[in-house]
Amino acid sequence: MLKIKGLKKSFGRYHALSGLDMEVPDGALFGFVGPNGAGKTTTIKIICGLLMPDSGTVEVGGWDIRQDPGKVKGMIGYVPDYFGVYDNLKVSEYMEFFAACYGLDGLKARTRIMALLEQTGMEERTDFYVDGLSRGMKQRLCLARALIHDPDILILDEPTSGMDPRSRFDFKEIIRELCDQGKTVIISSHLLSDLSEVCTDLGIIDQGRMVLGGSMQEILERVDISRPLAITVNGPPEKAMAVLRSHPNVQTISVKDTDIMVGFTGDRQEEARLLQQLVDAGIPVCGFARLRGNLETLFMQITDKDEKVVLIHEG
Amino acid sequence: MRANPIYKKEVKASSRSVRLSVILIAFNGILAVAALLNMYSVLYRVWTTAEIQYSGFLEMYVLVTAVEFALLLFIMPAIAAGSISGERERQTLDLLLATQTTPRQIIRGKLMASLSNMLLILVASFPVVALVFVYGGITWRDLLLLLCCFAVAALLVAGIGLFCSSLFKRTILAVPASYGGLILLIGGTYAINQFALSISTMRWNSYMNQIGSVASQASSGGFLYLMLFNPAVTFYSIISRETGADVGRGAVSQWFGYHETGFLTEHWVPVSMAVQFLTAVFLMGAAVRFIDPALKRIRKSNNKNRR
Repeated sequence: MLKIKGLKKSFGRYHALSGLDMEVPDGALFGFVGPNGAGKTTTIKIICGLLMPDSGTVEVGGWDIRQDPGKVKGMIGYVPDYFGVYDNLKVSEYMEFFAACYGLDGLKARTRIMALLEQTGMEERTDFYVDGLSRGMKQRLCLARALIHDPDILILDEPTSGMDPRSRFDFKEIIRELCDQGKTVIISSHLLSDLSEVCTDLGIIDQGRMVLGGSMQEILERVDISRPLAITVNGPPEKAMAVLRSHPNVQTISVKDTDIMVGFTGDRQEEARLLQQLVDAGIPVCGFARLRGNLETLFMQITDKDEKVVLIHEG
Repeated sequence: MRANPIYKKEVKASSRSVRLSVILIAFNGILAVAALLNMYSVLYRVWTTAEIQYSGFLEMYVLVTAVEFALLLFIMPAIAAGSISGERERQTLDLLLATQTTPRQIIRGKLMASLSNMLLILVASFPVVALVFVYGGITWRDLLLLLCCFAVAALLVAGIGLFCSSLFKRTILAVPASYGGLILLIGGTYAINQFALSISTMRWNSYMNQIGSVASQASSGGFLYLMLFNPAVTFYSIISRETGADVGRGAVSQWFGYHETGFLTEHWVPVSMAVQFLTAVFLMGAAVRFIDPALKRIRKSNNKNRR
């Protein structure tokens, strides 16, 4: 759905993007993360046609952003990290205005507006002035506004920042629903726990380059691999220690009573083989599991390193 | 044909704002006071001298239209200069640019909204201006020409306002910049001509002293044509023709010394209106470039190539 190749953008001497490559599959819920100043908003603005790149290509649904900006804009719904509302308009008028900006008017526009306000839980506030809405409601209105022309891609820049937990939960549910309807959703956020809950794919950007990209499952597996194995034995651990020391994938061992923490560099098959060896050696293993990693751990690891370009799947 | 969405939205928003009502009341109030004071002075003359001076009613026409023109020049930048910068301040400009509405449509919508507000103000002032018809001396044709002059001046000032609004990110800068641009256009062109005339007069004086002549042909030269950009001069030309103050040649050509009569001086009003209209179009084209991300990029790469 979205293909970015070699994207570069500078502001004076500052290089916001230095050859960004990124691919978002059709129907994905793509989490776009990175530290402050990594180039997320610049990338989003380029995709939305609000900035022109110095070099590189951006293709949305096969259309190039430079060649066919109108077509690309028609395929994208953009929710920035600010509200952007007209205080002296009512909710329905605000929606009608943006519908007209996409060439929709009359009954078609009104039907679409009502459906979207219902979907975002705003149907009872159509006659409210935008100025009087709460933060969460304004955010929902912005989401409804971005969907007015039924775009294929929805781009959300920090959508849940400043929301209370209830609103965040509701917002995530709406996003999931949209994804189920077949829309491709790109979410830029610092709330990695939120992203790990909803996203199917993830891209981590740092210093204007994509440092890690792929499906969420693959990425979390990768995180887990770097986490230690927690083994619990029923009885003294010495026999188990002997087996573990002789294993080539075991890097470190630490013991506390019957709990053994093992630094293990191996995939799930090698983990299974190690468990088999322990059982075959007659060791009563009553606990064997990888400690679960999370996106925060991975994010910290990646953004701390000097050189890191790891693409789990390309193309 | 679909109505411009920006224009529709602006009209709806301004109809809810008290600003337009306040401007309407103030505008008509000032005009009415000027007209009534003038009528009172004419009537007072009748009471004291028992003599009716019909030229006094023409003076009222000049006074009312001059006040109207001055208010137009004063109000229009305030309306137009906040239109794009206001969108930036509300953080809605990017949202508009992210839609399928083009930058050209955005500028056109803003221009139409500014002009329709001004048109409303002008139409609302008709009853006061129409007082002159009670006594005669001015025809509908004269009034129509004056309206054309107002329309072109409003377009030019709106162009300056939109240009500054697109150039500056904040309204607090765009508004004074618009007024500055307008002052430069009106006062600046006059000052340049005055300066050129005084230099020329000094040269002619020294030359005439040498040859003992008294007939000076000092003038501001080609700088006179800068006045084509000046809407106040166009207004003055129209008014002076309508009231008979102009003597034969184009009024402006007599201002800054001796100028040859030519096509431009003979057709000063239509030519100056055309020049001002084209200037407004140019300014609005520049405003489009300032907000269009694609054109910004082209401009930047052209600058790089030049370096």
